[in-house]
Amino acid sequence: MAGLWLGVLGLWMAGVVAAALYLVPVSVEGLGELARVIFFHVPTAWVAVIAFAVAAYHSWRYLRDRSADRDHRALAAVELGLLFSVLATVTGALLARVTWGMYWNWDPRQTSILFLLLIYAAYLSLRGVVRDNENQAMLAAVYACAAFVAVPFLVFVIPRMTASLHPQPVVNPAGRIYMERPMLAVLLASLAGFTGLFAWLHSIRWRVARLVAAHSRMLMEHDDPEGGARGSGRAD
Amino acid sequence: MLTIAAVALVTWAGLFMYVYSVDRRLRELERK
Amino acid sequence: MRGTAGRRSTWLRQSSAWADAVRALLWKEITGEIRARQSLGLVLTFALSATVLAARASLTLAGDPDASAAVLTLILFFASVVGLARLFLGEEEQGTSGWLRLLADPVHVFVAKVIYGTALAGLICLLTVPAYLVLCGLAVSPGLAVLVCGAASFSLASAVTLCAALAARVRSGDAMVAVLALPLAIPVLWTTAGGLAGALSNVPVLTHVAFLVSYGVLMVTSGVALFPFLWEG
Repeated sequence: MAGLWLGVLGLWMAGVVAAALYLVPVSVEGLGELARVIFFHVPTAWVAVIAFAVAAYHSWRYLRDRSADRDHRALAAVELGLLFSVLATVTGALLARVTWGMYWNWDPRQTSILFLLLIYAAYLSLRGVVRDNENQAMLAAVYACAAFVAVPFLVFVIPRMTASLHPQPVVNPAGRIYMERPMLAVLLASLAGFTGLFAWLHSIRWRVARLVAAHSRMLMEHDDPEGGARGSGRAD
Repeated sequence: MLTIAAVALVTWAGLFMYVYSVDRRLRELERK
Repeated sequence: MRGTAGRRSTWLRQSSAWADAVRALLWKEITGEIRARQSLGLVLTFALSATVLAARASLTLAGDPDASAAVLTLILFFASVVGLARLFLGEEEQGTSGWLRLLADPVHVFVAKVIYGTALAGLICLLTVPAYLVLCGLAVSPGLAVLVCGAASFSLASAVTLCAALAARVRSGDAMVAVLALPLAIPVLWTTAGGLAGALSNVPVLTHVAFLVSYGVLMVTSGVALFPFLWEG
């Protein structure tokens, strides 16, 4: 069953890549072929935000039920979120260079993703400093939830408050769509694909963490010298 | 663009196979 | 009808008990501060020195409102973080945290800390902003400046207090407060700079103030929800 979904994901993304990079005609004002970065930039930024929402959700659930699995899921989401934030910032900078001539413009949307990056970094440094696992999980969970409150402001409010160099949102509040239909279709498909990719990577990452935790618990409980030979503790 | 698209597709295929193999191994270990 | 009257009087009773608790805790903060007089003096001295240095360095800005506002915001932020960090580290140092945990409701503690933090940040503003303006020879619309500073103090305190509580549980607490607080404080800083620039140019700043206040309220609310987890560990 999982195999079927993964197969779909694999083919879907292959289709997206092909369409984004070759098949679809690109028609954004004066950017030419380089506008294709949009098909990857927007989804990575989207996933970066989604990842944080996922992390915050699992952090909140962790605070309620203190289940280690919740903590694994939260941390996995943050790690992936960091990765996608970096990708979004880089692709965004590339697009900025092409559109406005500079890699960095202090454009509010561009800056928003940087803020997200800072939050992720702060979260991970907090975890890095605290040695005791349970304390680490609890403190990190509290921070994730607090930071989640800030995210809507960082991502949605601030861009609206200041004048923006950023191109109009693809779907503006009035509901009119600024991209040509084929481009929009590919963008949405890419969005879906990247979300699926995130879900897959997230699942793998947190299950690895769970396995490692279980293994080290096993080692501690049995104090077993054969622990290393029984099965690879390294699942990555 | 065709070359870039082709390279990207191959890269994606490679990445996919790699992550898939990790997933398979993970499932094996979980079953134990 | 009697039922609703009963419920309402219970609510009144509960809210006055709530207010009493917060007031008591606030009083404890203030008296503690008076006893440990040096640390407040330290914070204010730091704020003043930073202001003087920054004012000297920003002479070349030639009174540009945006740039001056940005410099001022930075000073306010760092001076406030230094002051607010002590909110919880002080407890750990003085060994009063165990006592506090035993006797007080975490929500009351948190609210008291935020109120105290707002007052502290406000005090820093009161010292810093006029000093900077005088040293740079800038004019400001006083009403707007007060409004922005007040809202900013509240907003900043609300964000930093929770981070201070988090950092107090970590060994390298001092450094950690700034690291944790910065991302959460960025919306505040960004908006404060905009608001101060508006005050300097005599331009309406209602959006900025509204933003600061709502952000502060949101942060306090989430802090109230999250702080109990920290308190009981």
